[in-house]
Amino acid sequence: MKRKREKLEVIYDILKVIQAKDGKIKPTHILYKSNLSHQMMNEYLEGLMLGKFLVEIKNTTGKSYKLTQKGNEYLEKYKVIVEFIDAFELNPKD
Amino acid sequence: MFNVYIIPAWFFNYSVLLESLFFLVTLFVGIFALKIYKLSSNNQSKLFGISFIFIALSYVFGIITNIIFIYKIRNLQPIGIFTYTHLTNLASYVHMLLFITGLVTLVYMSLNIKNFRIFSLLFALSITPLTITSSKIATFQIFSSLLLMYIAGHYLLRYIEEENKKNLSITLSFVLLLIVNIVLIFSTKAEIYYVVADIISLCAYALILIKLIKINKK
Repeated sequence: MKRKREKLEVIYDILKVIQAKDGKIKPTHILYKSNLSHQMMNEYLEGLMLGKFLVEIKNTTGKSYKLTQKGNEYLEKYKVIVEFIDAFELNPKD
Repeated sequence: MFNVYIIPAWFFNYSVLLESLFFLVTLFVGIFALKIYKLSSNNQSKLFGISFIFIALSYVFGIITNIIFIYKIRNLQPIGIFTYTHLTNLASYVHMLLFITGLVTLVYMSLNIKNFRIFSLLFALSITPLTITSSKIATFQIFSSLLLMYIAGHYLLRYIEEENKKNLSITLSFVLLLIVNIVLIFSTKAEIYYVVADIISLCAYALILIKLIKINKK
């Protein structure tokens, strides 16, 4: 069960970290809090931006990530998503 | 001309009612899965949702078929130039095509691969016999039973191998739907089979509905 939920949990953890920082965070904080390798984190961040869960903001102090409406909804409905995927045997990695 | 299911006359109204319920449950499952896809971008949820929307639409045509039969029993005149047989055949045929498409999508989803050629092959292999055979109902029941065997097997294996107790009711539902399709193979011989099949279907969809309501409460 742990293996199956991995991706959904990692996404949850990343989004939760951003939410805890008032919805906006620098990549170094994500790396520190999410317990992922640099490469893995970048892959997840790219996927999450592609899925419109978060947006990248670039300014003079560097880049940061901001939670979108969809990202907030994911956190809100996380339990429902996981329960549905578990019950209907869907592949959470897809 | 299609071979038709033998349905007792007293059961037509109940059958329309039950199939309306099946339509609502499958539509609810489909919409729920697409909502999960929208929230999580999980592609399997999208495939699952699409397959249940196809199944829901197939029930619409199942209902239409039964309503035409009710009109026929009451000796009402058909609308326009179509005869009852034309209308029944058309509605039954669309019902079968949509149901098979839904099942093929479910089987494709359970294979956990991303290859449109495999999907199109599965689709062509399942649809072609239905279009060329004269015994459409028997062919439809045999092919949907085969597809449901794979789907139920997928859930059953996951239940046994991964001890995922959360999928028990869904596994049971697909096993029941497989039994329904096997029972329906015999429904061209005696009217009781159709009644039994509809009652088992009701149990299967009730299990899915209860599970979804529980999930939605989380």
